[in-house]
Amino acid sequence: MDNPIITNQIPVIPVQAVPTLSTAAIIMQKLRSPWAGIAAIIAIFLIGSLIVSGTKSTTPTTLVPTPTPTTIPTPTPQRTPSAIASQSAFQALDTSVQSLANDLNGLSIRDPSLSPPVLDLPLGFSNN
Amino acid sequence: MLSQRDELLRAYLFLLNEKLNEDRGLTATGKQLYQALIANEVTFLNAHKDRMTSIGSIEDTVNSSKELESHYTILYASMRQTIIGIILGNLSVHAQRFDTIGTTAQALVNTNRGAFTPQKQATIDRWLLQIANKRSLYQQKIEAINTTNNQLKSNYQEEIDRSFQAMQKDAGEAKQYLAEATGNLTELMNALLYQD
Repeated sequence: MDNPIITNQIPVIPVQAVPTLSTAAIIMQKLRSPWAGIAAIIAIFLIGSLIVSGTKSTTPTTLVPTPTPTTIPTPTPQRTPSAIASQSAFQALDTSVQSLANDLNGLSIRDPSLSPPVLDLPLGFSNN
Repeated sequence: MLSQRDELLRAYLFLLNEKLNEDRGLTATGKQLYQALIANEVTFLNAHKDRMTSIGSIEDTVNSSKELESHYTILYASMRQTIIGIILGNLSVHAQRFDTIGTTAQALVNTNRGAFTPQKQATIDRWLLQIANKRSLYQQKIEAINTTNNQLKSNYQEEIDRSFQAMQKDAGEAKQYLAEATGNLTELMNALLYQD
C-alpha cells in the first residue's frame, strides 16, 4: 500500500485571467442601472425637502392675534317716546302713511291692457 | 273686414270709456274732455260703418278704407290722450291721499309743537319743507304732462308714439317724486315718535 506523499508545498491553482475595468467605467455602469436613477431622484427629493424645511424654519414665525369674543354689551340709546306717540291720531296717521307707501310701490304706470289694437290700415289692393 | 276693423276700434274705445268711468282721480272737467274725444271717434266709426252698406265695388271699398286711414292719426292721438288721462287719474288718486295725510300730519305737528325741543322742532320743519318740495316737483311733472297731452296732434303715428312714451316716462318720474315725498312723511313720523 502506498502512503500518500505529504509535501509542504501549496498547490498552485491556475488563476483565470479576469478582465479588468477602470473605476470610472464601473461607476458609469452602475449609474446606467434603473435603481441608480430612482436612488438619485429620491436623493434630490430628500435634499430639496431639507432645503425647503431649512428655509422655512429660518423665517421668524409671527403670531396672529385671534380676536376673542367679548361679552361687553353695546349700549343702546334709550329713546323716550314723545307725548303724541300714544295718541290714536298719530297711530292712525302712521298706518295711513305706510299704506300709501305700499300702494305707491305697487303702482304701475304702464298698463299693457290699455295698448291700442294694431291695425294693418292699407288694404293691399293694387290700385291702393 | 272693413266693418270688423271699425268694430274692433269701437270696442277698444268703449274699454277706454269704461276705464274713465272707473277713474276716481280725474276732475269732472278732465274726465268729460277725454270722454268727448272718445264720443267723437265713436261717432266717426259709426258713420263710417253705415257708409259701408252702400259699397258696390272694389273702388268704393278702397275709398272707404282710405277714409279711415286718413282719419286714423286723429283717432290714434285721441286714444293715446285718453290713456295718458287714465294714468294721470291713477296718479291723482294717490296724490289726493298724500295731500290728506300731509295736511293731517301738518295739523298734528302744529298742535303738538310745544311738546318738542327747539332742535327737534327744527328737524320736523326740515322734513315738512322737504315734503313740500317733493310734492311741488310732482305737481310740475303733472302739469307738463297735461300740457303735452292736450296738444298731442300729429300726422304721423310714430311721432304720436314718441310723445306718448315721453309722457309715460314723465308720469313715472312724477310717481317717483310722490313716492319720495311719502318716504319723507315716514321719516317725519319717525321724528315725531320720539321726544328727542
